[in-house]
Amino acid sequence: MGVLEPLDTYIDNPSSRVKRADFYPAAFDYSIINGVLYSIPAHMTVYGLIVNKEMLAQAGFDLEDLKTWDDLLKIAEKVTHDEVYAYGYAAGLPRFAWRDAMIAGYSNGVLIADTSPESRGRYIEVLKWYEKLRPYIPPAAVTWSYPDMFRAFCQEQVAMIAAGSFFTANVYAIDPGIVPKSRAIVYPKGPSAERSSAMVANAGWAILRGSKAKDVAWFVIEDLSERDNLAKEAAVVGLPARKDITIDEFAELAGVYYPDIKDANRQLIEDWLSIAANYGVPQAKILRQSEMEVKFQEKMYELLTGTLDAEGFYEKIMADIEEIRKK
Amino acid sequence: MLGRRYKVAYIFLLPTLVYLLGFQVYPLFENIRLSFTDLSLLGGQKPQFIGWQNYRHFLLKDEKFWLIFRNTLLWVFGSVLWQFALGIPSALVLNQKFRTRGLWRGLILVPWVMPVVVVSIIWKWIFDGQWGILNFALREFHLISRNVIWLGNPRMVWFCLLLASAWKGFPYVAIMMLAGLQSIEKEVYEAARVDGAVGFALFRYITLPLLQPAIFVSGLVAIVTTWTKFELIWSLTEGGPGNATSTLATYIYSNSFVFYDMGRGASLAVLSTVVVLFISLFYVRTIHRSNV
Repeated sequence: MGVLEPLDTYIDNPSSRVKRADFYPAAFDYSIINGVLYSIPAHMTVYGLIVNKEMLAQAGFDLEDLKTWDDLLKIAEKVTHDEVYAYGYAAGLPRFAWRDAMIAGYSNGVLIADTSPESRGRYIEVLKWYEKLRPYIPPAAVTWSYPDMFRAFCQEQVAMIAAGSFFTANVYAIDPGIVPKSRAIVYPKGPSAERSSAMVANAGWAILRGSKAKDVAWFVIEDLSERDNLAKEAAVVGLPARKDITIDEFAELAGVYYPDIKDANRQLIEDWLSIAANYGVPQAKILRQSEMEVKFQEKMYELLTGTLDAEGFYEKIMADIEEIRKK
Repeated sequence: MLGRRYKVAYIFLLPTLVYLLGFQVYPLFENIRLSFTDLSLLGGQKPQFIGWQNYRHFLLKDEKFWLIFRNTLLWVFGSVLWQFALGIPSALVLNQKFRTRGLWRGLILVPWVMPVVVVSIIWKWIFDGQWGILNFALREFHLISRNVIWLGNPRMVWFCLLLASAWKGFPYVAIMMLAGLQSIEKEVYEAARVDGAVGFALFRYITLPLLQPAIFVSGLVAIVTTWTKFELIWSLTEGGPGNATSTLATYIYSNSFVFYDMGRGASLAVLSTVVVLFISLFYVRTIHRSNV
């Protein structure tokens, strides 16, 4: 893009205090574009399915029963009653409507920005997945943003949500009591995937290209990326990008910010790190994604309100994505 | 002597002049210049001059543009009509003599002086499809059995947006109308009564014609301010789903600051300015002609 300074020569310098091997691979690879490293990860975001285990138990299931999309549908049928729904979806804002489908797409081996004919079958499966989920998603979800979805989860109006490791930071202010009831698992596997994948992103540090003080900037990045500094910073909102920070140590640090739910949050941290280690892949970076998100959400709204089917959705969104890419 | 006096005057004018040139004139012309380029903050390429391409894109190729243009007209004229529909009766009531009149004249301004974002949050909580107060009230009175998704229903969403906009804007119209009503001499009404006019006839043939200058000014202000009123829609629906409730103001924002397509955003801003100028001109001429 020409905005950031490549950092390969800095990190590969033998005197560097930061090493590639210090980080979770999926989180580190998120900082690489076309083989060039542009940032040093500070904290990692892992995406998956967050489940209210008590609601699942009341319906006669546990987390082990939730391995595939079909499993999720079976559970959804049992969980959904009156005005309690199985699946929360922040479909009211383009960014989150897209993100949910990205998470589901990764579980079926397809990127929802992929317009190649080879991906057609998998892509339509994802769209049909939402058609099947429709009865188990609250009707108001077509207007929801993330705060609405988290509120519904906290109030046990929905039993499952697809979200990221920022979950605790988001729900803590609404109702910390939901954390002990919650577990994070990899999004159940779709029909065409051999195994599910979880997208992993990071927030990190970079140097602006053209900076006159690159060496000083790198020195600061090295300081910020040191084990203790990075752990303290990541404990506020997410997960550490460095793998040499133990779960106990990190849970203790997170406990400073989330004192009422220290142990329950430790379980969630363990869940997320396990997902990252076993299923994590770097989240795809999609140029002009924000434009695609608007087009996608518009059609998702139609799909969720029953005015567009999966095939129609696919044809339209492919044309839109191709048009956006031509710019 | 005279030159020296003017010199002092120019020195006092200078800060305003610098401000106007720096923050009004320059951005205006820079925006027009940008509208003829393909400047994007994504991709890292240097902007190229592309002539009328951005304008052609919106006017001829972009299937959403005309929907959004229609939405803008609905938003502006719907809001303004509602504002007058609420503002004129409010002014008529507040022009009567009653004990707590002063208090009500102050209270009516509350929506107008509230920050737009606060107003948006209040209306969002009223119309929320899951936890909204409106649904709660309707269910309490057994008028509905399941929640209505007010902001997610294409037939309802515009009604909700216009209601929120009217509530925010009507106090301004009411106060302007009240000022207009107070400027009408009592003798005019007395003369009309002598001629046999009563009730609605007094309003139709005396009040309304004499309110025309106030209606004209507040109408023009309401049109222009609603045209650029972006925060209310953005906070309630972000112009969605898709672009179903987008107006030119939200579309400019999306193109410029969500898609980072500055060239297209700038061209939309120019188009929007030209349209509102034409509407204002048409409005002024029509009113002027009817007064003549």
